[in-house]
Amino acid sequence: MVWTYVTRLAANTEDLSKRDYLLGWALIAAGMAVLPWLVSDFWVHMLVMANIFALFTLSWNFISGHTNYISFGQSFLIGAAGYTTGILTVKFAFPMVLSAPLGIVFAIIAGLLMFVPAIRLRGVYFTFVTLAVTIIAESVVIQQSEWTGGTMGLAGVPGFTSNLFVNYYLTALFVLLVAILYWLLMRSDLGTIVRMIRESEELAENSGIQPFKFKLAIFVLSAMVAGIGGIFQVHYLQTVSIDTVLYLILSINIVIAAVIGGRGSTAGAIGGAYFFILSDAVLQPFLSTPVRQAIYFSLGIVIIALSPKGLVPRIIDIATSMSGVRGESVDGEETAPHE
Amino acid sequence: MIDVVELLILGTLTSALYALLAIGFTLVYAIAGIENLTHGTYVMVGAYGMYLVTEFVGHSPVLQVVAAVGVGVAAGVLTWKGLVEHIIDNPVAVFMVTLLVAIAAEQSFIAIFSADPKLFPGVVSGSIRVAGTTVPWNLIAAFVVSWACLFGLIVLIKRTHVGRSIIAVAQNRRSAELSGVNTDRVYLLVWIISGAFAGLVGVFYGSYATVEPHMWVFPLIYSFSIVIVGGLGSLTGTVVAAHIIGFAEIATIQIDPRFRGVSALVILILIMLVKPTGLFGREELE
Repeated sequence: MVWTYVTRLAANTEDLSKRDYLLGWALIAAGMAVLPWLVSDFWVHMLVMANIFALFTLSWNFISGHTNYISFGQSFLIGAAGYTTGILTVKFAFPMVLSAPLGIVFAIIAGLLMFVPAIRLRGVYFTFVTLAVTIIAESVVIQQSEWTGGTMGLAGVPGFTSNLFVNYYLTALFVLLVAILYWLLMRSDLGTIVRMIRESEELAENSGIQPFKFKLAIFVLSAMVAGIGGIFQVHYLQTVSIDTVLYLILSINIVIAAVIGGRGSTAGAIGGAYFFILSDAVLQPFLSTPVRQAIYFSLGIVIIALSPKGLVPRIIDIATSMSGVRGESVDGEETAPHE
Repeated sequence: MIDVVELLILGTLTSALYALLAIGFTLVYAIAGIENLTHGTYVMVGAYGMYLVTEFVGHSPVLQVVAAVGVGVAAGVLTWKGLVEHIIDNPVAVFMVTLLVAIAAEQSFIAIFSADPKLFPGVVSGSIRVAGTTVPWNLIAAFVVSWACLFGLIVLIKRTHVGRSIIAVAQNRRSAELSGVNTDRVYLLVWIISGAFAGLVGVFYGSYATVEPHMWVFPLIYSFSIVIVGGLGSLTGTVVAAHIIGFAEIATIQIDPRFRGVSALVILILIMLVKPTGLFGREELE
């Protein structure tokens, strides 16, 4: 009976009653609150990393969860925020209270820089521009080594707190806040319009809606959340370098994690993030980094090739049909670019 | 600042190589409507193939070229038959999957060969001074070979039955099938050509860039930029754009070598904003 309830919950989150949804999230929040007490410090550390990564995947979801615009630019946004707050605190002794919000502002600016030229492009070209911008950013940051520390990065970034548990709850809190934000937005007019844009941008335009404003809105939100994630990443690890915030593979990992969890699903984004970070931690003592990465990418390849909607939704579809519960049928999600 | 003579000479020579690189990418797009982001990886495996021959057999130009081309073809066919063929109807998935393959390949190469860059001399060593510029013989060889291949391709496409099949499939797969063209074979042939040319580029590229697992990135950036700027599916456009980007690249390197590749991307972004179908683009093939 619980199984049926859970699959029904997960099968179609858009049609769920408010009550069911809140109940589900309350459960998740409770789980997250309790978790750190049950595991060792090492795993609490990994959970903090997972929370931060969840912010990354959530930010990706803002853009790519419900539209055909697949962004590979998250690491650029994360890096913008991270390097801003890192440079300000390390080189200029800014207090974090100032540098953190500035970092987020910079992430938003970076987002605008990247998205505004790309905004009129269709699917694949948009994606490539996000890819291109991230690659360029990587080399620029390496070159400007007086500011950025080049490939080594900057060490000695102050942390918010050294208490592991506080870090965990802080990051978990933001994850939940962002999740709530996303949920509120998707239920609002913005969400309806975004979904309309996905179905047919032309139709939306002909209805007198200018997609531009709304696309801009979700890009800014995505950048903001990515910025928040970047700030946490840098202040938790107390270091900022290409390897932690700006590298291209980060964007790729984010996309894979989000797709594993299910595009467009907030719980999926968090789940995918947790899966990525925690499975990586589990495998780390046994397999070297390139091997783990290769496995992860292969997994991503298989999933994207087989079920572009995401792994978890596919599993849910299978589970729902198995348990005989009527969920929404596989929404032949068209991922081919239109226009 | 900018040495015009050097720019003209080196630009002309390297643009030929860029054209060879990008033409395979265009061909695949023309007939299959997809962007194959593994294209840069073919260059990489070609270069590594050549490196392995050099390591184990020694400096033997013929063998090196054969190895590079062979490995390039193998990689191309593998990507097509093993992966892309099955998801051909979903261009976005192909985009993401081929990108992932490229990155997974890099990681695998790091695991197998280590991330250390490997330096080795080109197929033809030495250089000659022309009009005050030092020109490596390797680059001249690249120029000659590239144009030979390009001409060969043009002849193939315009004068042979096979070539006309390729054009037919590029225009409309369904009609071509109905006319009795074996589309599977056309696809395979195009991927073979694409892999072969890219592997060949690896032979030359590997000698003036270093051979390392990250080396697929720039060839891919060049290919993508050239093909979009020239117009997807247009062979003439590819050659023209190859020269635009080739010259821009040489000029950029003269100004500041650390900005390699950036000019290609900038030109790409400019074209996408101004004329997304590219300079010679006809209706975008869906």
